[in-house]
Amino acid sequence: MGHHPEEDLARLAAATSDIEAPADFTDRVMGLVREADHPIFAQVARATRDLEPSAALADSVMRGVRETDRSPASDIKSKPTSKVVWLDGITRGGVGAVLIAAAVAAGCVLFASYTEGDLDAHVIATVDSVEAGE
Amino acid sequence: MSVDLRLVATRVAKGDVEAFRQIVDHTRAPLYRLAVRLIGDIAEAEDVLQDAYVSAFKALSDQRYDGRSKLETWLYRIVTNACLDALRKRRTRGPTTELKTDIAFEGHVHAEARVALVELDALLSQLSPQDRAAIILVAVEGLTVKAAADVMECSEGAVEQRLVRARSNLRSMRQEGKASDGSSS
Repeated sequence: MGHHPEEDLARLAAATSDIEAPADFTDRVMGLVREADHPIFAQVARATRDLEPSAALADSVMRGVRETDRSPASDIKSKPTSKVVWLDGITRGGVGAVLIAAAVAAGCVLFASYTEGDLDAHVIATVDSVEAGE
Repeated sequence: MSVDLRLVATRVAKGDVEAFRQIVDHTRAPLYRLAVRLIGDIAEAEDVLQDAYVSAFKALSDQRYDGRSKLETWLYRIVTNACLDALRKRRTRGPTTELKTDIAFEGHVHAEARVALVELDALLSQLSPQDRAAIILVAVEGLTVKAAADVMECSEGAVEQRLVRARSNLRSMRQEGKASDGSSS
């Protein structure tokens, strides 16, 4: 009597479980892929291998950099590093910013109390009309 | 002599504008080659590279370089992104009819390099900028897929997908070219 097919498959799996691709497999595959690539890639890589700009590029870049550094926009850091960002803004703005912030805060309190009073009056009027209806 | 550009970057971040020249001097050759290879046109690549350097300076001044990657890798990423933007603009603008600006900073560009770049640009003009960048970074710059993914700020899988798409498109173009050559002869 023969073995069960499952046992044969299990033996086959056990026997082949240690099989691995050779160490240079990836390199060989990548080599084949590169060979299959259009020859222009290798040609460009070779032809531009020694390409480099003249020192005038650095001069030109530095001119652009100095202009950027002098421009007013560069005085303002685009990302404040302080964790208290709102305070950072007030600190930079000085006394004027503190006064504006105080005025805005007072306005908020007034607005909140006004709307609260309005709401109370509206609720009382509604309750009165319901009571009158009953 | 090797210079730790991270230290130089710290000086720039503290306001030493002239220290930035040291960064440009140490990185201009490989970044010039990268821009030229990605763009395929020397004059346009020079403009893009200059703008990329100025962007890098602004980022350093704003302390947006966190020092986690090497400064060279960070610059490589900035130049690649600038080239991708230029390629996207070129695609929306369509083929330009205006005369190209003069090449200003080339050292010695051999005729072979010019011819190869024109051929490369024509070949890759049908690819999307992202697919084009992926194939240039891997097939011309010689980066690994992992390094290309790092530069393009995407997953390795995304780079592999772009490479497959780019190679497949190039293969079809080659076959179409061969077929049209065969039918005309």
